[in-house]
Amino acid sequence: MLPFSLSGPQFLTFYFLFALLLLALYWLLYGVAPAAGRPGMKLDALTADPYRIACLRGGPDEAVRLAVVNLVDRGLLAGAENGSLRVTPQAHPDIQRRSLDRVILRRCAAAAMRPDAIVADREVRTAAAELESELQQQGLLRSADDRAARDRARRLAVLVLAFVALVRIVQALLAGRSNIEGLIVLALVACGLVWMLPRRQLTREGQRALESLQALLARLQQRANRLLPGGATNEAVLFASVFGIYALPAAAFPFVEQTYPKPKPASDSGGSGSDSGGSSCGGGGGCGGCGGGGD
Amino acid sequence: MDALALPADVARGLADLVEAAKAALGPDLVSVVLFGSAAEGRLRATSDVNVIVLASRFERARLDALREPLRLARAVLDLSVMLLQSDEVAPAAEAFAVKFADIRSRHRVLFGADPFAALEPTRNAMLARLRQVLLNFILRTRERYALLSLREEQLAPLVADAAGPLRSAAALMLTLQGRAASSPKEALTALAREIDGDWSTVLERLSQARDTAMLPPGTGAPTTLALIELAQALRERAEHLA
Repeated sequence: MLPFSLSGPQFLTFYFLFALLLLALYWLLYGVAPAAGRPGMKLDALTADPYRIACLRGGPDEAVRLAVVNLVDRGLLAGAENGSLRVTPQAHPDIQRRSLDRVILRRCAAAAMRPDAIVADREVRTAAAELESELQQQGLLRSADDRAARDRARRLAVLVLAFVALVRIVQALLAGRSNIEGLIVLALVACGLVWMLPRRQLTREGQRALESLQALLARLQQRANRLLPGGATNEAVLFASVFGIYALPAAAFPFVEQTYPKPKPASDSGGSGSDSGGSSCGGGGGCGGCGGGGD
Repeated sequence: MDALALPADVARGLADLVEAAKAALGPDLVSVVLFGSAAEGRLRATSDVNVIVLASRFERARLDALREPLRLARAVLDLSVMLLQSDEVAPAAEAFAVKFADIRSRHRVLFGADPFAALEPTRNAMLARLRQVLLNFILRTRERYALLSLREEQLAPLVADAAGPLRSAAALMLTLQGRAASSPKEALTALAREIDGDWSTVLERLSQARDTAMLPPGTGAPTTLALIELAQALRERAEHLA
């Protein structure tokens, strides 16, 4: 029965083409087809809320980090002992326009919180998840269902590839042949490739929106070294939402790295399938050095 | 706007701003006017974009609706906006005669009628404001020099910022003398030629600082001090204008 009646080299060719076919099918199903949701959130709906942009770029945790940095910049949060943040006398949660700001200020008014604890806080995460949900509804981020379907498809493809290779290997061994190394290597490479297919949460619409935002703020990027702290304009928060909080000039915004120390380059963590593409340092568990606070 | 030779992103940003102003201010919007280097099609990467939004009145609800678009335009375009009410045009032109003389000579109407077509501030107002601008420039630059010049890199932005007031003042001075220049930059060059000394290097450095936000090592301090001297010479001439 084809393909198991093929000769060794013919089977390797078949297996290679079969793996390519699966990859192409996956791409057709999930790479080309738009994600569920109403596409096309207007750009000004994004620019009106930089936290939405941060969420789009780096997920809800990144939106929280940006919100905390923004509140510190505006003088509404300030450093306390042990690197914690507390609200300042001029911080009034109820007059804030954005729910994420209100929640963070309320939580920090109840008790000083460490920056990584703010990211991990349940109420704060709920507020940030609303941003993610809005972006999913607008078709800029993939929904949990969409991502689960992609994971199922990926697992199925790996199982099929492994199963076909395994049957052929058993067949070869039963026939007394031992030249199966080529197939094993090919099967491992194919399964690995399928497993490592991009798991980005961003849809193509979302990616396009991010690229448009980067183009829109190109002039702001050129004069980034002239950005001023203090929150009198929304330039810093808008800039950081698109290019990341660590893109803010450290001389003018030293509190960024004091609040959330920049993660070390992840040279030893390749292929982990990180979703966000943002300056994520992991939600909930901190990022190693986050506790260092303001020293 | 196409004829202005503006970068595509700036042209788009201005078009968005005009639409936002129309939506926010509705029938109260009189005109939107671009002025400064962008209006001449000489916008540099370091230039800000100057716009006047003229309205018959600024009601709170309408002004509030303009806040978000203005903040975005500031971030995207490096926008400096003047929100001017119709009944303030003439008094503003008297009070800020140098600035408005510059606006009158370098502006493009993006929407509505040209509010500056028939505007003619009095000669006395222009003279008084010219002297004030030059004196203010001298005092402010001297103070900034004293505070900044121990860190030489801080002087390039100071020199770059000198271009605006000095060139505008020179253009107005030529106008008051009944002469014309093709641009404020040319006006300053023309007047500098008539003042004792060689100002060509100083004016070159002024342009260099404005274009690149940088100056060659060792030139920031002498350039700043020379610009103060140039302003003093211009002020002396302004004092003799009647």
